[in-house]
Amino acid sequence: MSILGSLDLNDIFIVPFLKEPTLSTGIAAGAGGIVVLGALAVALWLTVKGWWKPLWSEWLTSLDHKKIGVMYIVLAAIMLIRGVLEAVVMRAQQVSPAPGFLSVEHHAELFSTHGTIMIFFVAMPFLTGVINVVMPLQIGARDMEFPFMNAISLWLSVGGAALVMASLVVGHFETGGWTAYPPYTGIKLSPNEGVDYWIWSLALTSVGTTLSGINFAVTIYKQRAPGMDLMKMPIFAWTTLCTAILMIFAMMPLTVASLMLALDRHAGFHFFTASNGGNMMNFANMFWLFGHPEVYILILPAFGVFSHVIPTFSGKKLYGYTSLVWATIAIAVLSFTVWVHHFFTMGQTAHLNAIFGIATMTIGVPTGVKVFNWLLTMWRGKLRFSTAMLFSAGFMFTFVIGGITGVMLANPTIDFATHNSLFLVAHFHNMLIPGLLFGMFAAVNYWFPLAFGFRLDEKWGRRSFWLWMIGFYLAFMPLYAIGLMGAPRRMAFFTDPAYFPWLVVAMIGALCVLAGLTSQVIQIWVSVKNRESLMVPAGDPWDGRGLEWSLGCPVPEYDFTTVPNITSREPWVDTKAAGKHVMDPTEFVDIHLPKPTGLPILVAGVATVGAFALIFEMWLIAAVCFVAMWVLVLIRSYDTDWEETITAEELREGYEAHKRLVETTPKVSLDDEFTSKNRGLILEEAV
Amino acid sequence: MSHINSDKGMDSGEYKHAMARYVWGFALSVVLTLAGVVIAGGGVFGASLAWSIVGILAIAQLIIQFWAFMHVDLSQEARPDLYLVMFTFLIIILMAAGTVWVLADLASRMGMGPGGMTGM
Repeated sequence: MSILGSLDLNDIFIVPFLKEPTLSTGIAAGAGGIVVLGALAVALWLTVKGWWKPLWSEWLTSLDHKKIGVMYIVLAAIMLIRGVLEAVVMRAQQVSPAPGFLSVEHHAELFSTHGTIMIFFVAMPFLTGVINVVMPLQIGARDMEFPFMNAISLWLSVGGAALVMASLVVGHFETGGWTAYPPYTGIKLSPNEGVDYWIWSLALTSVGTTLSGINFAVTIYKQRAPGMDLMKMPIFAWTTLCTAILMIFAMMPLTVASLMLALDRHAGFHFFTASNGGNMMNFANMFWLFGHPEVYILILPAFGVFSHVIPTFSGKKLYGYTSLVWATIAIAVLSFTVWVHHFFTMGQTAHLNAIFGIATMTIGVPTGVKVFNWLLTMWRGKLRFSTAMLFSAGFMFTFVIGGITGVMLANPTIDFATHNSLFLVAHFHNMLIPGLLFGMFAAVNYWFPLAFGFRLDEKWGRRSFWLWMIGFYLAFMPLYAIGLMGAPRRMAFFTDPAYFPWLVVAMIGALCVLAGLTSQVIQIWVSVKNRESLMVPAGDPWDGRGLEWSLGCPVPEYDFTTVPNITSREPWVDTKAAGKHVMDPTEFVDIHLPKPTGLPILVAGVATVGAFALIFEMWLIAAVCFVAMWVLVLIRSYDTDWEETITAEELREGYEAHKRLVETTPKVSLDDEFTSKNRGLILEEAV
Repeated sequence: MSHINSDKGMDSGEYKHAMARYVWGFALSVVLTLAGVVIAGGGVFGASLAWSIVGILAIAQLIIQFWAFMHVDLSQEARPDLYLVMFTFLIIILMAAGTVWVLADLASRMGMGPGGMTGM
């Protein structure tokens, strides 16, 4: 076997098209072309602008939690564009006259990458990014507990995403859906590199996520400002803590199951084979031991976001803090008790199914508690419908519908009739689009000034909201209907004419969502262009309530000039109530921040090359990369000169400068919140 | 845990107390391990009883090591750590016992579980 393993010329994206030009191979070649040309265009643009050096020294090598968070969100945004485009292609395929323009295998690759990308490379990096930017600012920390490990997590996720992108250019992705159940994904039925792409991209990102979980949990346990006991923490920090704990425990079964599948495929093991003592049902079991807690990893941070956006834009304290905390904890524990509901039809006895069905319905209760918390927060508040608030309101409305269909599916007898149908597909999109994406969109619109110092354009933000909202209903309500009529999921085409009108509506919905995504790109573009008039240097542009709004925007590298003493749940509200706009300094001391380092990129880069080598069975290269990765980690371990000091004097100057800025910034009333008069320090009373 | 590892800032009484805890932990671990070896190799008990006793000794040793070496005890300062340890056990039990339950249930329906086809 050559050093290049199983890689051959036919794996290069353009070759199948040249050999056999059809629309399906053409689309595949086009997608590969977009990846290659896109990468070249970005490289060229950076070269022309001379931005390589600042990009490297200020961003890629940074260990600052805010910059790492922003890079996570950029990764999520790029992958979201691909995921939505794939969805549009699939919708177009199903409204075309049967058998459509895609080959069956190509369509199968599309739904597999769509699912894998949306969960692992959109949802996960998006929420990890938001947590990275916001959580330390909310608890009065200066950074994550382990900044170097934080960067490793980021770049491992980027490496996994790069592998999925590489599958467009070199070889194929798998065709067994995002769950990749064996025996179909075993070596006999899926002999090509597709499943290995899935296994190794997930291995990289799941290790990254586990490390992130450890980082978040330890940061919350160890780095809270003095006086902030757990029951004084902001809700977003609470949901982060629960998500982090879920990450630590829930990623493990996935990592293990996917590695066991790899052993089956390449080392002759029989964990999940149909013969020789294998048990493929254990794969489903292990996958969902991860998969169900994963659902709550995705949704809890968004719950946290809404718990800050809604009080801020209702001008009221969050209703029922304690009940929200306990609901979050209850969800986190219960999420480990319901995984069987993903495979009710696998053949267990009815009483086992019934028990898991009841557990599933139980988990709806704490979730319902939260919805009432948010509704009662809005009740009699003075509501301001900013983009973030619109996404929050849209979430509540839509999420409840998804929750109701979820409780329907929790009943095993109903699940037997709707299992693997488009009804299920509609249900989980109905949970994740509002429950995750809307939450993250709200978070970006709400907290953007912390990272960049200016607000996002409201006009395009609101347009994007309406397009996403309407697009969602048009795209997924028809799937509920034809799902109940019997349409199975993952079909390349349908021949029943009764489905056709519904599929057309869904197609329009998908285009609407695409327009929403485009509006968001325009929103960013317009905001960057008009950033001068959107600047809020004094901070607190929305009459915010959390500690993060006591800082100037953008937040300086050291976050806090002095770590505040916390005596209540809303210290910033108390400060403002006392007529002050800067928190009183405590004690200025020298602080140490980690220096930028290129090692995390190198470690993850080597790991990614090694994973690519494993995919194409280049065992020698894989072994070299594995050793190199640990050598790099060792090098870091012997590096003693990794900190730089910011002196107490610099921090004092930072504090004085911020204070002067705050004193000279004119205070504006809420009515001018979305105008260029808002330079920060928005106040409820007109001044 | 720098205050345990170095004697700086620690009076001799505290130091002795901490040291005693390590020594006790080590001694009890050795005793419990040897007891397990003797029971497993001695052949005095029947197989299933020996399994149970060794299992109980293992859990006892786990608790002792958490107490002696990880400083997880019932004191107020160690409470968050204790909760985390307990939560970890809860999740491991849920996952392991759940898996055994689901797979055994499936196996019984497939006619390959304990009792084989007769279970149908």
